[in-house]
Amino acid sequence: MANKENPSYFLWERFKNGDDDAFYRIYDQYFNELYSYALNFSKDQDFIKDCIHDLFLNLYKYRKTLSSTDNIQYYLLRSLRRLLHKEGTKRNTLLHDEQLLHLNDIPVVSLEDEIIANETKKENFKALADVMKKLTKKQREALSLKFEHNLSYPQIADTLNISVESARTMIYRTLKELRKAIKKGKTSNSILLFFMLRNRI
Amino acid sequence: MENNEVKKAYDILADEKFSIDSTVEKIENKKESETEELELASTIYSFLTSYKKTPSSQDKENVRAQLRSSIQQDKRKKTLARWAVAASFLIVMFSVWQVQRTVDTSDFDILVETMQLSQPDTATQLILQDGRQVLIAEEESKILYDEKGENITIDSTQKITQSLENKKPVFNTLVVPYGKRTQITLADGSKVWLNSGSKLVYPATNTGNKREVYIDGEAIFNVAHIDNKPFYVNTKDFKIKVLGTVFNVNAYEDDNNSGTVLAEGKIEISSNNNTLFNNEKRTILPGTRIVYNNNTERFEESQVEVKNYLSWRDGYLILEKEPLETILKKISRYYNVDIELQNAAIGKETFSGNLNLRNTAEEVLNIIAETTQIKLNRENNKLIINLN
Repeated sequence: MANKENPSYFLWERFKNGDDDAFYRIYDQYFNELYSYALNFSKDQDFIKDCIHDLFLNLYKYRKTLSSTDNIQYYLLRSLRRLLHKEGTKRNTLLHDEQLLHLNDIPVVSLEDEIIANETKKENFKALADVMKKLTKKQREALSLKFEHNLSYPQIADTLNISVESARTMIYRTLKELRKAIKKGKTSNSILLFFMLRNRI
Repeated sequence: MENNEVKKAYDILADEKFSIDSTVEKIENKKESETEELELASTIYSFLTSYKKTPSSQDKENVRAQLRSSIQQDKRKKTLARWAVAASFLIVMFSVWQVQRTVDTSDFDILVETMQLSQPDTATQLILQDGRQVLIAEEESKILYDEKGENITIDSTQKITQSLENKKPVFNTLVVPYGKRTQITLADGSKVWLNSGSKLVYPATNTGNKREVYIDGEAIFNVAHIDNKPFYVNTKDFKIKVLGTVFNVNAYEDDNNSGTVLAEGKIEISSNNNTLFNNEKRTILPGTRIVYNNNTERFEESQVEVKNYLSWRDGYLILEKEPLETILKKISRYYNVDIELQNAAIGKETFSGNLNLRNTAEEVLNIIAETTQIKLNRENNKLIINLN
């Protein structure tokens, strides 16, 4: 089923056959993405680093018996998710919900430079951040899988163990909530902002 | 890059099945509203993608270095392991022999020991129809019935037999006190995991045309599928009909609400309060939690994350926005520890996350205390929770 046209397929095959160089290349290529994905599950950076370490260690140890793939990103995300869940249950991660709301892991800081001055965008991002805090873990993860990691709906459904329909509905509803949040703060700057965004990219 | 982002913005629009005419606010200029929506979508998209913290390159390097050394270690271990196999074989043989020697003399010792733990609320009890009370001291125990229900094995060390007349249904009772848990395999092959503070009455045999149990407390059932022989679970407030499924029942008689969560298969649930006007019978599918509301005398359904309700069986709790008072009750039962909450307001505060029940009750409560302004005090074998 793996598409041999895809260069990822060969990278993975070389790794499986014992090429250490390929192994570390995969690590370098996907580390950041895996790290940011793991942030959906835990704020504990040490925990995340440990899990990523364990993930790659296990991949290396059992590389001969792994299945082939042409989508390394998808394979790694799913494996990491399983590991995070399994290890997560061994830890005590209980937090007072009040605290969870205040934990600032949402950097409204990383805005593109030219737009930093724009108050509307800052306000919108803050409103969106507030809505994000109220979503369930699964909803946040679904959004992350779709927009940060660009997974398709069937892939999202498979990762979250829900039906494709549920995945679509979940993202649709969550986006609706986000839209509601910023629709409130409409100013006449909006059109200007839109053109600024379009031209900037 | 521009095409990609605009395309993604349209993606959001398409997902929303947006149609300009359905916009709530009356905007006169059609073109303007379309632009506005596009801009909204674009804002959301750029928010979602700029959202995450990227790890520092230092972190990346650190983990990489750690990975390298772990791989080295593993390679070294593998060569050592080959030598160790021969040695461990000898050790295993030796200790098996040792155990064989002691097992023969200990049956009597075990009986004597369990008889001394005669306080009914500290040892798990298995009560047979002839009145015999078998005491089980282990915190986590396993009971296995053979097909006829005549031979019962407890933790592979105790063996009990009971004689059963063929036609009459025989019931046994299992009492699991606070602080203990038991897993029991019934004569029909069904498995039940009982949580602390639970009582199960069940048929010892596999005869008759129906299987029926009664539970007060909490248990996870994995019911063996037998054609034409439905399995019934009775609680104080409701009755469940099962054909072969996995589900959790939470029905403590001293709780206000009771309910069940279905993991696999299909069950039919009916209220015990069946009057002419209120004959509620519902069939539920996996992923559903159904709770019997004592006040309205109705069932309430919701879709839930099933593993949150089965996790206690594996020794941990997954909590999602759960009020402190419920958490304390669960901990109190699981560990058999008296916990007094002296401030009702903090009882309503909610918590989310994982709790590993392998720790002691005090350790677990300290974890909770760390994240908020509660103080934990010990007083006469009781744990007191108060506001700091």
